[in-house]
Amino acid sequence: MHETACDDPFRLASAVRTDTGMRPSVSAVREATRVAEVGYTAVVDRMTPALTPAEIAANVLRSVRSAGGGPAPDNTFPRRDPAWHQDALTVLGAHREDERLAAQAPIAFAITVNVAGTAGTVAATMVLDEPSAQLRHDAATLADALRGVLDQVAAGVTPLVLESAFLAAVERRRGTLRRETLAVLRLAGGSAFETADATKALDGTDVIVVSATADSAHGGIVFQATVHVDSAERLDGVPMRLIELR
Amino acid sequence: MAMDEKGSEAASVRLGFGLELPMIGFGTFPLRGETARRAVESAIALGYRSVDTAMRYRNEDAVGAAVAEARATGTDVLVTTKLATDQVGHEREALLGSLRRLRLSRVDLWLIHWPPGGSAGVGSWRELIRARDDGLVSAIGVSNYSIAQIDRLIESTGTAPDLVQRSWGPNEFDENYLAACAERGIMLCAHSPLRTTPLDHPVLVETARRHGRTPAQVILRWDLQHGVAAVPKSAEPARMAENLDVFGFRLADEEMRAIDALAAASVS
Ligand SMILES: NC(=O)c1ccc[n+]([C@@H]2O[C@H](COP(=O)([O-])OP(=O)(O)OC[C@H]3O[C@@H](n4cnc5c(N)ncnc54)[C@H](OP(=O)(O)O)[C@@H]3O)[C@@H](O)[C@H]2O)c1
Repeated sequence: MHETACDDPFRLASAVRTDTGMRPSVSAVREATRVAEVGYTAVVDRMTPALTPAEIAANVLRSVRSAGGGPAPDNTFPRRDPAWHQDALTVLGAHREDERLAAQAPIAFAITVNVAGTAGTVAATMVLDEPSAQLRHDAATLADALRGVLDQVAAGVTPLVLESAFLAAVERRRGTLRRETLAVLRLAGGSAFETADATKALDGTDVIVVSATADSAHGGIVFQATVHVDSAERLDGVPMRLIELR
Repeated sequence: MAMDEKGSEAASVRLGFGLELPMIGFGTFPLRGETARRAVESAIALGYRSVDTAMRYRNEDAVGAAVAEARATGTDVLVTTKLATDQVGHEREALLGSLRRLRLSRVDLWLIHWPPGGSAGVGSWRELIRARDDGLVSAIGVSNYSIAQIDRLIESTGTAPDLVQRSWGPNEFDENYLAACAERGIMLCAHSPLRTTPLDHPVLVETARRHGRTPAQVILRWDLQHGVAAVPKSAEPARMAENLDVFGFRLADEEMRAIDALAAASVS
């Protein structure tokens, strides 16, 4: 995986799985992404301040299974410490499974699923209370930086170029953001994510996951997109902005 | 409620702003794409005049295509769609997106899909009221709300939802909820009306046998007699027709009470 931590160094939650099997078709990734989105709706639609991470993960798993998927073998996505993982759900930050999530802090989460051997993932950040102006600013900075990166995704571009653009965009409006990271991954066979070599040009046939994470003074933030390089089509429809559930 | 001789046209209820909502609408989740378009076309051909969709279902474009085709031939079909929970603060933009996908200039019924973050979503509710005032929607409501959450909306804005849609079947019968809706002048609409109670339950099977109907028809008839609208989904034309054909028989009071009692039996 291609990642950069700007302030503190941080530890990867797990080693990156690579798989040399057949790359999945765009339609298989589209379907896996759709199932991951079902997991996303199970989080945001059913979210209340009373829920614990374990309860949210159970809702996600039930929905994902009823949509025809299951947790991916590698459920540590996005790989950032500290984070809490269970089945198809990852929540950034140090959480206990039986502890309610704080309403004022951002809840940054990812859903990673496996549908018939193809991985799908979506990620989002939500708050249950009115966010501070600072948190709104930080979330907008990270989202805009990622959008800028997505505008540049094309065959022939290297992940290194994307990352430089990302880091520069965050730097211009940093706010309280730190440890910002851009991960560019290819979807590989066997439901795995494969590190996109930083210096190797993207291939038009690639489907990549571009994931931007950072810490803010209020907590972790993540935005992410799954993109087919040739068409520049984004395969997931999760809002790339701070979701306010209030 | 009116009923035609063949029972092929759903009876309706008058909601706020004069909207005549058919008591039986066609549910469209999880149909998508061509399958959804064809299913809605079949449903309309069979007599459905109300279709239930949502931004979340990702089928508004397919529903819109089928409804546009029907309208082009003079068949008016009401459309309900729902604001996704993650659109708080972006309600107008979301509605304009739904209108575009549905190929409509006005949505008949717009609902908040889920209470955002478990709150009443007063900010979003104000936006629904504004959309109605601006003529972009005819009637407004909520979905999956408790009575406490509905009361919070009423206290904060003075405006009650025209309709609340929630999971509702014999196993979920709640007399207090039904009475609270009636007191507030809110129409109750059952989503997942068939899925939430086993259709082979002996009470349903026996009641169906007595009337020469199916258990699904008994449930929908039970809804109607409680004054509850319903949006059953089927991908099969035969079952679509069956679900609409519920106006030509009547459940006796004791049959209604026996079906009401399934909820208590299902929790004990
Ligand atoms: N507001 C919300 O949060 C919410 C949530 C869920 C659903 N909804 C809405 O409510 C609609 C209906 O809910 P739902 O789809 O969950 O459940 P439902 O309509 O109660 O049940 C659908 C299931 O019952 C089967 N079925 C339909 N008619 C039947 C019959 N006459 N006899 C036997 N089986 C029959 C269908 O299979 P076939 O298709 O094979 O016939 C399908 O498997 C949805 O489509 C959606 O529009 C809203």
